[in-house]
Amino acid sequence: MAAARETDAFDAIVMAEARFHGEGYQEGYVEGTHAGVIEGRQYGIQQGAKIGLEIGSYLGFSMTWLRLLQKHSDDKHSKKIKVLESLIETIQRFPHQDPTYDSLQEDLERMRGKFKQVCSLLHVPSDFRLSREGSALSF
Amino acid sequence: MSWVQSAVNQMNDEVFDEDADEMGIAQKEWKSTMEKRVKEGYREGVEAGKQLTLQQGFNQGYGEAAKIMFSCGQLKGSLSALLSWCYNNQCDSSALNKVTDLLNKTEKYEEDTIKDLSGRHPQQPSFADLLDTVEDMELGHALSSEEQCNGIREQVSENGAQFCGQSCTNSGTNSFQSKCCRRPEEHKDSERPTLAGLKEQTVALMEQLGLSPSTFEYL
Amino acid sequence: MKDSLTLLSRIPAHPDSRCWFLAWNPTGTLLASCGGDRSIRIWGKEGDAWVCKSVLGEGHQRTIRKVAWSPCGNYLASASFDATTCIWKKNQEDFECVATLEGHENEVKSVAWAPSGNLLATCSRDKSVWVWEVDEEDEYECMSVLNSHTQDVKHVVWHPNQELLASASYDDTVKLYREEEDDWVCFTTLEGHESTVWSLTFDQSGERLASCSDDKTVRIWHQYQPGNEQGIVCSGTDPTWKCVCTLSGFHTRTIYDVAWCHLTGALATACGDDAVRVFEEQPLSDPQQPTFTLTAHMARAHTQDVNCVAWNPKEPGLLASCSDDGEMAFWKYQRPEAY
Repeated sequence: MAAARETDAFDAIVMAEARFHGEGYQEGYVEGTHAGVIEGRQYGIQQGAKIGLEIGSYLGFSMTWLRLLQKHSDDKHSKKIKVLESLIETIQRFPHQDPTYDSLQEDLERMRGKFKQVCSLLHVPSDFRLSREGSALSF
Repeated sequence: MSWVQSAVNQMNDEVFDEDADEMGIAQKEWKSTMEKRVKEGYREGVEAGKQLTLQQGFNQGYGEAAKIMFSCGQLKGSLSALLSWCYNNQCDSSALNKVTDLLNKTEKYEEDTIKDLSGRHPQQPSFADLLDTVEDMELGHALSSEEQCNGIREQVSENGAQFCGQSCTNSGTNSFQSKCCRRPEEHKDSERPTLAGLKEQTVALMEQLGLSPSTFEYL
Repeated sequence: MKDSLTLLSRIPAHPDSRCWFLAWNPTGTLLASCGGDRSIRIWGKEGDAWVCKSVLGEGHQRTIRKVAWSPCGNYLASASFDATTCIWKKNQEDFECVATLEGHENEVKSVAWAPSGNLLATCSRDKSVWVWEVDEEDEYECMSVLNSHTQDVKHVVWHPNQELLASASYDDTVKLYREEEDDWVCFTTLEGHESTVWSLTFDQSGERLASCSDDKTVRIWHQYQPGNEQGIVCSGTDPTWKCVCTLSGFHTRTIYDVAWCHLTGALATACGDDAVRVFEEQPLSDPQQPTFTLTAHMARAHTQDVNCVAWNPKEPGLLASCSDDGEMAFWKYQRPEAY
């Protein structure tokens, strides 16, 4: 009789532990989901801001130069114009707001390469007031 | 977590059936053990909850920041292009200074915007946001009254809210009006440029440099 | 293997400095050397001796890592740690710097002319490979900036008869590029080396590529075109390159350079163990699974790391090497009778 009661008591303890653990877990889970959004958001903002700024600056730079060169209708600038148009098109097609885009890194490297080429053709140093270091972003 | 206490007490009654003295010690042990379980459960719960929403939060923040900073970057890129064009064409130093100045302002705006984005809670819009919202509404008169209000607010500290209130009544945009007529401490926000304002200054500068309208109509 | 490699002469090309690279001009009459002393020297034979014909000392601010002759022999390109590439035009015995190519963010590690003479490739520690176009007026324009590698790019080399470019990197891979609509794209990555790939060389036919690495091996890669007899799968119209042979156990340190002789088919290596080695393919070995034998091993070719080996393009068996000790050496290689 005593043995049976002990077993019951033991089971009851185990169940109680599980129950307390479970209740703590549930409360933690709710807190965690809130904290996760906030934390995730902070990282997301950092990354998104960097990319948005970088790609946006390539676009603004290219579009302005394109307009500046289009004033001259001679062939002298036809190569530069072609490359500028190609970069602009690539940027406009790039889903810069989507961090889950599967060719994100590849496309980014392609745009960076094209931008460097553009700068080389225009005789402008590619870190000309556009580099991430230059803009003194600090988080 | 007061429910723990009462739950512990409850459990004590159900399971233990012993001497009063022994029960004192047993009760303490029980309570301590159960509190540990709760804390462990809580920690695990937090981790699990975070895992679930970290990516979601990231995507949300990324999208928001990328969108805002893309526009900012565009303006900066345009000004950089203008500056490099000026260098290549040996424009006079006053033109270079004007462009450099605007570029510096844009960079400052960029820093401030990022701080705003990082600092604020999703529900609280920033002042800059509000002005942008008004612009987006594309109410011509609202824009001009914003400019009016901006200029006037710089004098708020001297003239007081009353002055501000008077001209704001003309704007016709209620929510804007209520934000506009805030406490004088807000006046330092008014010195902060808006993206639209910087764009306008860029366009004006391009005109001054003798560039045809097609150069900047996309802005 | 005895006497298969004999020393002809040894010259202190860049005294008190490192001699980084050697390049023979297309006719094999001149040898350009470059070094840590920021100069390029042009060497020619006068009788039995190699003499310095010109010194190009004013072009770069830092070490010159590689030099390359244009296919016509009238131009020399130099790649420097000062992040620029200079183009020198030959006017009899004088050289004049006619262009400076800028754009890389840091040290330029290699430069190479395409066989057509219209294209130039450079690569850098900034992880990128640049392809430049030359027009009739000697104007150089950037055609493509390729960011495929994930680390420092050590070497670039053009295919002998196709418009195909190869690059070797600290990221342990070799990448191949081709032209696509006025732009260049990486169409394949050769993986297998376990450490930095330092150099590359094509055989005379262009069907095979040899790479050498910090992992102390040389790998031989074979090109398989779509529809090949061996049934090697290809992606679209691009060829597949497969590793058909690995030379391991011969070198005790990093292999810094490898050179395939287009006259004899012999493969020379420059090693961090101060030795120069030569390998030859066994004549009856299966081209899909070739066997290479060590036919020469000069253990103390130099007193420090050997940085470069270069076969003379016209004189079979004439090999030049250079080292961190600042010296350059000329060797006569003779294939052993029975191997």
